[in-house]
Amino acid sequence: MALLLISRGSFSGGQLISQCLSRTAGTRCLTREDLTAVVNTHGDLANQVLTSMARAAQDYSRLSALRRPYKILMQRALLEYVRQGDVAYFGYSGHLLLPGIAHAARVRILAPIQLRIEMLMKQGGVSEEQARERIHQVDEERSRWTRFMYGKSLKDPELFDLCINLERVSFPTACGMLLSLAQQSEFKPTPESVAAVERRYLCACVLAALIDNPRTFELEVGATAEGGCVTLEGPYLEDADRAAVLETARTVSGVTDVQYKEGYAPPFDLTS
Amino acid sequence: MSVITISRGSFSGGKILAECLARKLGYRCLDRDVIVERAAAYGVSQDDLREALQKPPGFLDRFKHKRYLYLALMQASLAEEVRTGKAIYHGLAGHLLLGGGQPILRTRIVAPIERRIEMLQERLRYSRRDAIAYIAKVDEERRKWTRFLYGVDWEDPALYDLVINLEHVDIEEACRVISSIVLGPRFEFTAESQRRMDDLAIASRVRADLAINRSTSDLELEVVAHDGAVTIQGKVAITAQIDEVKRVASAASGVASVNIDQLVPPIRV
Repeated sequence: MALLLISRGSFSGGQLISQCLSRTAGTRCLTREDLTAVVNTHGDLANQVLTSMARAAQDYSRLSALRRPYKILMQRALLEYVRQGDVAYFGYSGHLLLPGIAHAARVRILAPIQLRIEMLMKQGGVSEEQARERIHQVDEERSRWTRFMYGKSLKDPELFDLCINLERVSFPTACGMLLSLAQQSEFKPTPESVAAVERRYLCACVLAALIDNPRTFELEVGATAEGGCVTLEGPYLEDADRAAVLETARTVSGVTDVQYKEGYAPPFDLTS
Repeated sequence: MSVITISRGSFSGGKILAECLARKLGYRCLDRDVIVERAAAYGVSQDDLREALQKPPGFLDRFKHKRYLYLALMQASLAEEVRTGKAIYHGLAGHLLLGGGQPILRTRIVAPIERRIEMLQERLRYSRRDAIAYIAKVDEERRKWTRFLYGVDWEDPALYDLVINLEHVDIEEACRVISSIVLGPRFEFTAESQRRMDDLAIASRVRADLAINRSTSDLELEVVAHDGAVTIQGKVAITAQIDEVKRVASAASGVASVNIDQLVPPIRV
């Protein structure tokens, strides 16, 4: 159940690395599109979140309200894959989507602008000037996305375990390094880290169920789990709202007991 | 047989990593003090050289020429030390002093702040508060230094071939990863690599000689070399300096020819 969370610039060779990982180690490589496809299978609300994300791009407050449900749904989608086997996720700020998993290795792939331009020209049949402009635009969007979603800089090396620059490190070497990194004891799943994945998954399912329910959609509630016992923590709720929260959480498969505590709802990133 | 530069924050384990690589690869391990000692042979104070490498320029300092001189001497010393390959430099801005495009593996290591604090407290017996303040100060000075002199953010991963975070990866593993890359074909030290390193050493030597020579010491010039043929660009203050530049450059060892066509003479009004 190795887990590589990979962030890369647009047209920085992510696809080639992904092919290499699949071929060499049978690692399942996922993109953001793979996760959104999973999110879309969970009913209308998930669709609405994603559509509204695109529509609300210019409207900060609307977009901001969607940040939490989006992250929860994406995290649950990724956790579904992580539970099944080795995964390399190449997505927008992939290294930040699933923090707190002890065996996850966070990697950034960089490539010099000239190499990226050449790759895009070859792939998209565009001129050098168009390729440069497109790369600049996508980089800018991703950088804004990371700042908005996570309040972090994409360039901060402290957020990664390894940054590889493909200017002089070849694709096969980079691929070998990633495979070797995943084999290191620090990044090998342990019974504790696997149990943490299960706890995170259960919490994500509960929070997603609350998002799916229009009555509880807007409540900022955090979740922790121990076995099938889930503790929800959030603001003071009227009896009817509290009952709706507890009832919704109980419907989630794997949940054996639920309790609600008033207090600070930890950000979803920090729940386990 | 390549060259490895290691950039790191203070007390991030750079020295331990460099020593591990030196053992594993049989390379020489160079730190800032080795380079400073060599540069001091040009006749300048070791303390001034250290300060030039350490402290960011103040507002008034920006108008001083001394820093150019010290950096030219440091660059020449470093280029000479690593010219034949098989060397590891763990000191500030090795990747910038040696420039891009050389057969050099540029690495950076980052370490979590807690580990750095522990390391500093263990070595210097600082209180926790003083250790935090010390690390913040040195990091800020280095950030300013590279921003001012090279116009880049020293933390930008794009400046390196490899950045390793020691939060979860231990030094032994970092050492293994780096040595496996440097032994790969991309970093093989070929005859072409040797030629480029020789040219870098020659260009840096000429620049240092010009910076230390009394009649040309006020100039800030760009020098490149190709197969020993040296081209010098920049502005001179008085016309007589053009001949002097040529004379000093021609006398430097390894120089086959000197092209000063791109030296700009002073404008006469």
